[in-house]
Amino acid sequence: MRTLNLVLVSFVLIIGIKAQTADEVLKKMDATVYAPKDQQMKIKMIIYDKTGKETVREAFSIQKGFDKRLFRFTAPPSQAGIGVLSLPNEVMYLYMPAYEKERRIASSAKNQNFAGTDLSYDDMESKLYQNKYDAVSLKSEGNDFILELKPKPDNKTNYGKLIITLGKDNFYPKNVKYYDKNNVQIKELNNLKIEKINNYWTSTIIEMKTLKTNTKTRLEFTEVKFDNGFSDDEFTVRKLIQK
Amino acid sequence: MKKTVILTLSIFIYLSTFEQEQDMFSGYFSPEYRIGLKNSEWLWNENRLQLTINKNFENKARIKSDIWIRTLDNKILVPEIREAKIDIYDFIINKLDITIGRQRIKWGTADKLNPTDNINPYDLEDIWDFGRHLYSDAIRFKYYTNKITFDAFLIGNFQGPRLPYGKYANLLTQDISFPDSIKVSQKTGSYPIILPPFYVKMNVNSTLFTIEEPSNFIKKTFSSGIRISSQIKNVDVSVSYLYSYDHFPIPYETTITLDSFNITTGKSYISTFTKLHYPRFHHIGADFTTSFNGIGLWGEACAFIPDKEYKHKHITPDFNQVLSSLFNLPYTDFGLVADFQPDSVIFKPTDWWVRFIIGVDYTFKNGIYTNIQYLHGFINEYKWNNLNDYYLLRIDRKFFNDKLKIAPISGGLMIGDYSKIQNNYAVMYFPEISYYPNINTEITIGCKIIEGKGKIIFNKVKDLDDIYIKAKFSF
Repeated sequence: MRTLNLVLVSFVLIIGIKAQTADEVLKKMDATVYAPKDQQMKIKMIIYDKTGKETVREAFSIQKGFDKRLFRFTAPPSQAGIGVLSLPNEVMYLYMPAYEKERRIASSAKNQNFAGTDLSYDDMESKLYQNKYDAVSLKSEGNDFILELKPKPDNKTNYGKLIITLGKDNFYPKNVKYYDKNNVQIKELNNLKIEKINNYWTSTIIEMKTLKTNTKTRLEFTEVKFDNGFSDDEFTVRKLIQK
Repeated sequence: MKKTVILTLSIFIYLSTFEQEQDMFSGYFSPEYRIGLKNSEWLWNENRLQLTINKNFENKARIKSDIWIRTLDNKILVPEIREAKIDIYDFIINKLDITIGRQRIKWGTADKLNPTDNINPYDLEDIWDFGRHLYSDAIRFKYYTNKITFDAFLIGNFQGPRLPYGKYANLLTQDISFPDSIKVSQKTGSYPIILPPFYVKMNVNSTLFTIEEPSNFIKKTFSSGIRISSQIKNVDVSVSYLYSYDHFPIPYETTITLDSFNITTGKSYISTFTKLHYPRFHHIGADFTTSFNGIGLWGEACAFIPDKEYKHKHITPDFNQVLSSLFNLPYTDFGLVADFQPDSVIFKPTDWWVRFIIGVDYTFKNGIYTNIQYLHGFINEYKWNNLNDYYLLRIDRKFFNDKLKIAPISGGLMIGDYSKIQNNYAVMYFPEISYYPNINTEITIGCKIIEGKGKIIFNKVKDLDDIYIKAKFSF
């Protein structure tokens, strides 16, 4: 009996240490990804359909912390001027020049693809992973950690789990596999060019694949600048409608 | 004039201090053709080229102009400068933005049907382009604090709406009816002959209308208003006040002229000449929008309060003159009085009413987008008893990475009188398919089918069901 108790206590301790470690890695990943106080960048979005045909969109984005972002298309003409403002508490506004007014977006739209890309509004959201997901397991493979995340109960995402591969050296994600609620992988994200800019690790080329449709979107970031000193005033409806 | 010149020069001096960014020209070309389903006639044939100039000056100012160059039913229309405005940000004080010029001031949060959007006159040329307004020459101030936004404007001159065009021209016309006959009586003790009361049967020969605009003084022509908006517990809310002219004219004087009169049969032929003018209303509005459990929710209401009593006066023929002519007499006062309908009161300040809309939208996980709205009171409906109910539904879904959008269910149900619903309803069905062959091109085909009974507005065009194709090429 005493042996059994010892085994049980050891088991609980191991599980506890492992969960804590996964949680710590998640926090370190968040700390790396969201380290800059703010950032701005130009984005080239290359969307490939299943035949490999390309469509190119261009955008400009500024971000502060992990819950304020202003994103605006600059090309092609049919999209130019369309802007999305993401704010805390799942508040999102869409500005379409043709509509001539900002419009609040229902959060149910967040699971849909953003402007024909393979990224959803949810993927675009700059919210800490630890606020949306629980770390449930951690594995070590060579120089990488393999982290498994499951959505928190209040996270109304389409995803059932995320498997993230991140470097042990910098805690920056290299690859993210997205699974649906039936545990079938539906998307895969690869950070193809991870580099250090102004002491911050960042990925300047991202590729997101949708496995079911065999489509992918490649994001290339240029003119990336960190710690610009953006005030909260830059992330307002006022700025969204000034184009 | 001197003030205008000084203001204009000041703006140019202000703008010249900024480093100018690259010019930005854009636009689109959009043809649209509609063919009647019942008899294959052309109902609409428009080719529109919009040119947009949008020049930003270091995010401190912006000039924007939209110009339409069009053909409509094979007629080449005069190019139209729809919008021409300058935005100046942080004008004099921080977070005060002003906009001067021809502009659209859009209030309200609902989706296309906005009861509080009453500033710019309606552009109803194409009745199926819901929510289209003309642009107005205005000066607008927006001041932002951390919690509250103040939005105020002044429009100096009066501008009437653009009424429906072509086959749809009668959609919004108001029926002005007359009684079949007028009773003519003689005042007691009248000289020189005694006549019993008689009836004049009226047959309308011709009807003329003229719409009078307000006199050209700013006191008579201006519109102004203020909107205050904020966010309270994740709900965007606003309240507004607007004093402006209504979009549709109402009759204020009808003169009936007797063209001929047969004293034996009592049969007459008349002409009517009706003068119309625009009533002015106080508008008190409120709206909200939020997202709850993933569902988008919005609501918008506007109280319409006439600023004074508006009457419709009838001027009937002078039967003493008629009788004098019949007897070849100089004008003689026979004491004849036409017992016609008294002046009717169309609006009075105590008889106000509220139009409102509530709506929800939701995007299901499979990508199906659903939008449901309930509207009480259409744009041309006045007073509580005349406001109809409109239930609107749209379901659409995008396919193939947004290359195809199908809206199999789109339309609405309109109910005029619930107790006689079988004779007071309209059903509209507007399915459509949009295809995006490339990123700058959208091609849409669809149809409009309307069925109904009664005096509900859309029943006036139920014989104009159509199939349409339209495209938009952005550049």
